[in-house]
Amino acid sequence: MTQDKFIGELEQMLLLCVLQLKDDAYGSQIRSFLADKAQRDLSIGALYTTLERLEQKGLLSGRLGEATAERGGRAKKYYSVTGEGRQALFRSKAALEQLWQGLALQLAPQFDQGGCTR
Amino acid sequence: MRWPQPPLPPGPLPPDMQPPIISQLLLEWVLPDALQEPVLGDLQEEFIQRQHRNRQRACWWYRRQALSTCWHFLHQTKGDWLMFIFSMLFFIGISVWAMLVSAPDDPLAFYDLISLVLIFPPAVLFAVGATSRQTLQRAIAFLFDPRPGAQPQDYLQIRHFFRVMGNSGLLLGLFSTLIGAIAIAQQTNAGNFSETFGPATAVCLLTLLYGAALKTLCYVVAEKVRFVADLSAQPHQMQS
Repeated sequence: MTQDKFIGELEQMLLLCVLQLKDDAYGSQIRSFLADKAQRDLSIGALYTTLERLEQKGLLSGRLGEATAERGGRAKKYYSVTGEGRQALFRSKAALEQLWQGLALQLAPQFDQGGCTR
Repeated sequence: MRWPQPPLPPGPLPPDMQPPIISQLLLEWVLPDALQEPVLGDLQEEFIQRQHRNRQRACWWYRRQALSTCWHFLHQTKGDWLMFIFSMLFFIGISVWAMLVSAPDDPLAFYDLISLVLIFPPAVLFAVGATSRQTLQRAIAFLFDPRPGAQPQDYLQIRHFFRVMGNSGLLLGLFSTLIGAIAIAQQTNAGNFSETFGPATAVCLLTLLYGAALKTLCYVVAEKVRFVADLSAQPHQMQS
């Protein structure tokens, strides 16, 4: 298992958004999708800083798309998850599942007593 | 969140539908070239949707997004420029502080309009005369955006402009100081020596001070131009 592509929570969320949006994954749609599904309202600057970082890590690839009138004739930048990005997501998911599984066995009764529903 | 959107009029957006222009210019200045299209496009797309509900709120939203975006990218694209400006302001601030400390009773002791007029406008005119008006424009543009990527000849001309301006400032300072010294020598006699010599010499030396300050600033800018020119000549060093 390679250990050079660790991803943080926001990076993981953005990779998942890009996967969910498929061919329509560009900045504005990703931002809107993330706000709808995860209630996380990112600024455009924070979004693109993270997208650029993921692109530099090789987990995302970007390409310029079409320009529309509503964008002032400016092109969209579509993102797609690379093979490395998918591997990083799987690794992250597997690690989190392992960690949650262990915690659930030991801590679930305490959560119930404390009124936690999650 | 997405709202239903009426169709846009054909052609470019009318002025009353445009996002705040200053915020757009700020974003164009700060954003890396590769991200200008997607970021400005995304912002405009969402701005148009928002302004159908309330234009004023949409404008505020755009300004907030612009400031936040600039904050995220400022250190990445303008870090060198900020350091350059900071060094200049630091020098000016320290100099002003030293002047105030030197003459706490008279804060304007180091200010003399005639000396300023004798140094700065002629130095700029000499620099323009020795180069060209286009070089002046390029030099001003360089001060606001000292990015690599221009032609080597442009950097040589800009550097030459600042070297001429700095050297002219210093020489004008010396020249004006000599004029002042001659005037003092002519008008000073045994009767008024104790009253006039000190203040007259101080004003006379101010021109040299202003000239030296201009030379110092121009030296730093000229070295910055050379550094950026070297970076442009060796693109692989820009990435390190």
